[in-house]
Amino acid sequence: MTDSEYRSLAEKSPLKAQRALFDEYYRYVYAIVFGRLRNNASREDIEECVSDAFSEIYRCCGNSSGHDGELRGIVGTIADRTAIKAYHRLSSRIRPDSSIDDGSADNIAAPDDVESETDRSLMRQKLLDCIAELGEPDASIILLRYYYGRSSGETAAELGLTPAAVRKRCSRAAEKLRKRLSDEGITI
Amino acid sequence: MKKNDIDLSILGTDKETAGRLADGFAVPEEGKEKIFRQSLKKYRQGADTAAAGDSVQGVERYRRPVWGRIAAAAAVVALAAAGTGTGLLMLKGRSLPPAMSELPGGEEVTEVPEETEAPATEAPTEAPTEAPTEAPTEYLRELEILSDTMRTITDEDHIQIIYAGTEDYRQNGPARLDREKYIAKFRAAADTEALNTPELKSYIYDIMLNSLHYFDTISGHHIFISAGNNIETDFGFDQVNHYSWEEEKDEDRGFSWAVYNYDGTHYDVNNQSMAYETFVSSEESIGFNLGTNDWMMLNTAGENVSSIQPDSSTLGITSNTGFAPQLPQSHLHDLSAWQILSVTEVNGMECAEIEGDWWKGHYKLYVDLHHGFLMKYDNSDGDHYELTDLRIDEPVEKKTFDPTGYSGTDIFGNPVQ
Repeated sequence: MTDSEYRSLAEKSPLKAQRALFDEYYRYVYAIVFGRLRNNASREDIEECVSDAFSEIYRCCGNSSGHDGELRGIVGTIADRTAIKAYHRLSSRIRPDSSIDDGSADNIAAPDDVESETDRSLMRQKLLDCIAELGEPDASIILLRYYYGRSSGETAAELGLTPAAVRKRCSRAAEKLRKRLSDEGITI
Repeated sequence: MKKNDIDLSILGTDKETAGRLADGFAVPEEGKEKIFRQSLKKYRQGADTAAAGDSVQGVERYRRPVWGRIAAAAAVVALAAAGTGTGLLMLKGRSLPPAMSELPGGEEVTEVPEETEAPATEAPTEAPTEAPTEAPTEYLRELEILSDTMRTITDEDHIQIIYAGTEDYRQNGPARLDREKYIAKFRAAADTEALNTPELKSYIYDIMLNSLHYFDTISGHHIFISAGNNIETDFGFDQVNHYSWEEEKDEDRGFSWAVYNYDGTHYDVNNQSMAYETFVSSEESIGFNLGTNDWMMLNTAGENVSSIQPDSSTLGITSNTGFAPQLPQSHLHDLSAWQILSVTEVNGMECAEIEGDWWKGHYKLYVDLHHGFLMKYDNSDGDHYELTDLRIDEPVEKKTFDPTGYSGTDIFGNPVQ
């Protein structure tokens, strides 16, 4: 959706425009927010942050003064900024923090550590390639279970499967993924 | 994390990966409709506020009544189950009773009597000046033995427990354990069996959780080494006059940060980027007098909940400073998982030497018996923490921040003058 498409829809019905925007970008915004907050926020906090991001997105897109072109860039930036602020609010800090009590220190990159960040970025893409090779629904099962932390029942509800099918497919897919990652020399 | 789990945490933190996740794979959608409704509500509230000419919604969030602030954050802090994840305490959103559900917009709590707001400005200035010394006015409470099972309560009950604890603190000041009695038992213990009674272990757990109750002012130095971070911190904290500061540096990685809290304003400073963030903070200490077993309970969904940590967080004292309650909750809540080995001195403080196991592996730590401070800590993951140069109840310098040369923003990212 482009900004002008959004605005022309909003002229007819702001609610429809907001709904269309939400439907188009919900998954992207959720993935951004979840990635930022997964180590230090509850599911409810993450959902609240997603709704905060969208209320800001509606506000920005509703201002005719701004942007043109595809909205994805703006949406992503607002989502990321909202999530970072939520992280700071929840952690009471604006700079990298770590605690004896959690593993968040492992994900903190030094600001000038470009080489390490590039390596990590390549690793992420490779990991996703390996997950994608599992095919669907196994790839989504793996992500819902091990990245988003959903139970077998919740995963089953998301994908229209039975919990038993999720568990069986999950264990086979996980084994396949471990072997694939090992072949690629990736340790996680 | 369970043994056979796959750790995909590396996938987080960048938009490119998030885009691929969103475009190529399933993303949880069970809360989607609720999120949409919330987003519309917040958008409309923001539009109404802007139309009314009120441009300080963010400030209002920090100026709502003390009780409203606790309840509006849902007044519970989530602690992940010990077997799966972190012990870092965060505010956790909860479904509140309908009368309180409008609070995040900054509205008043209608069900709480108005007089509960007044004590927020009166009582805290009195109680801390009377309680801290070991004079007869010390407000003592009984030690509870830490239960080996957590009880299940409703969210409303939990909020009431916190509210009662807050009111008790406001009226009576910080409640303390009879330290002389229990420290005598530590000293008299003839062997490790005598040291490892449920009573003495519960004492350790309780005094660590409530260590803020056992001093008025503190300053010192600590070092924290973890996962490539090597952070040295100098800090000062005055609970009576409501100011604090922390100055941290990690020379290996070239970081330098600081936090300053004074006169009701918080500054979070990054000396690398010459940037700071500022917001209104509390000018009042919010304390809680809670029983030992009130700190960790299960909600009706079977999740661990805990009370909000005392005001040290809004006064800028980090989770790593040795008197934050996170560590006892993550490490010591299961009395069967750790042992007291001895009573020994560490950096000038009489401590219990403790060894145990938690989700990250094995650890050893030393707890100051008189105040509950974490004096030293090491775990099998290579993390190390040590608290030194402590000065307790001596005058602490009130450090202020000079923003010259820095760019400042509020928590919404708007530039500040």
